[in-house]
Amino acid sequence: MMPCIHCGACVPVCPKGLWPNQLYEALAQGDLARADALGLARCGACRACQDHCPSALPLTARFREGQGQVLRWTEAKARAAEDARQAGERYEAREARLQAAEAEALEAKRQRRAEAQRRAEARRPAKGGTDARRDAQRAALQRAMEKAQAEGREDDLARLTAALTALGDAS
Amino acid sequence: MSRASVPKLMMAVLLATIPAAILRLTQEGPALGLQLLAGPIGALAGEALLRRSAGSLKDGSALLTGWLLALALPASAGAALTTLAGVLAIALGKAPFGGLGRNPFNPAMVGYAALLVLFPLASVDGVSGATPLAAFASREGLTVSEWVEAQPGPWGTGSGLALSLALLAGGAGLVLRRAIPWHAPAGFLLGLLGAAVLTYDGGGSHSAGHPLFHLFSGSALFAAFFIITDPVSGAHTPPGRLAMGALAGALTVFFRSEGPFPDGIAFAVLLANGAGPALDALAEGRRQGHA
Repeated sequence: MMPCIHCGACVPVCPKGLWPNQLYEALAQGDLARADALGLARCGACRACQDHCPSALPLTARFREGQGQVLRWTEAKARAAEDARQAGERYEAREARLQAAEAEALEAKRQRRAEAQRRAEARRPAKGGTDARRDAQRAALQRAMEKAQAEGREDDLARLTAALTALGDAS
Repeated sequence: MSRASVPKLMMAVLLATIPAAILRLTQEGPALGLQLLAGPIGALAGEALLRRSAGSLKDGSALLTGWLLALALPASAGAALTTLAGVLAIALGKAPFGGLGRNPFNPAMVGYAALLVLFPLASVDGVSGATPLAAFASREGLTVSEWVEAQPGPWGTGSGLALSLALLAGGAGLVLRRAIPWHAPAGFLLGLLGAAVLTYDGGGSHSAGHPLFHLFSGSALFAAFFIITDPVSGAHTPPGRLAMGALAGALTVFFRSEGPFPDGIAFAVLLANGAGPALDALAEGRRQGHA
């Protein structure tokens, strides 16, 4: 067995019109894509090339082996493509999920804000307070006034009267 | 039929050059005989020094390289320089690339070109021995037809024509017996004639020369059947070989009319060899497209 000298004796004898010397080189270099492109799958293992090879290279066996390699390589390639497709789907799904969660969080925040605002609105006295608050304050002032009057605290009575007036004015 | 082998293939090519070698010996004398021994000796010495595997001296490839190199050189090169060229052919053209089957360039032409560059005066014209191409390159003001009329034979010398026919017979025999693929020689002859026809203007002083002059001059037929046909170097696919041959043929015409050396076949072949892998890639791509 000698190296391939590319004498080309294998080319005209191939019934499938393949270029066995180039195929052999591609396989020797591990270039399965090139071997596939050169039509390795069409090799029928007839041994014509091998019988005419002056270097006595084991062409047929190598091509058989190469066909298996290319098959496995093609399958691996398809598997890798399928894996990539699934990974892509998972990614898309995760992205969608994350976006939905973010939108939901935003909406919840918005609602919480609106609620807080509504409550603050309800708590805030509309300059002097709401009617109920004012009524309660007025009642408290009047009770304090009655008590101050009964106990004869004039100072307090005057102050409470002023406060009651102010409350009444504001309303 | 006995089984093909690499040494047998090499011997078949060598034997096909024997008629031309004998013709040259009768014309140029015993000094050439010494040179024809010196080429193989130099190449085998280079192989012995630099080989990778023990058996590579016996595969016939170094022997053939040295033989073709010696035959390509004119008798004026002499045995000493031919030996050197033989060593250089292997040392520069074959061994550095990993030996048999791996050299991208024709080793004989690497040796020839190395000698041509190192000793420009020694290697003038190729196989023809006479120097019609040297005269052609320096024909000064003469038109091509004037120059041709001044020659003793129809295209170069009569003996040159006989030599060309001997090479044609040997080479055609190899192709017809399918020892070598026909693509590279066919491409070379088409490229040479095509370029010569396109540039021939009827014999003006700036013409590149009559197509038949190019075909039967110097080492054109030698290159077509014994040099560009080296299976290892250059292109390895049938279309690639056809294109590489055509490129080498066309470049030969170009170098002959424009280059600094009388015969530029060595450079034409080396350049075309260099384009070989790209031509193969193109061929494989196109094939894939049709599959």
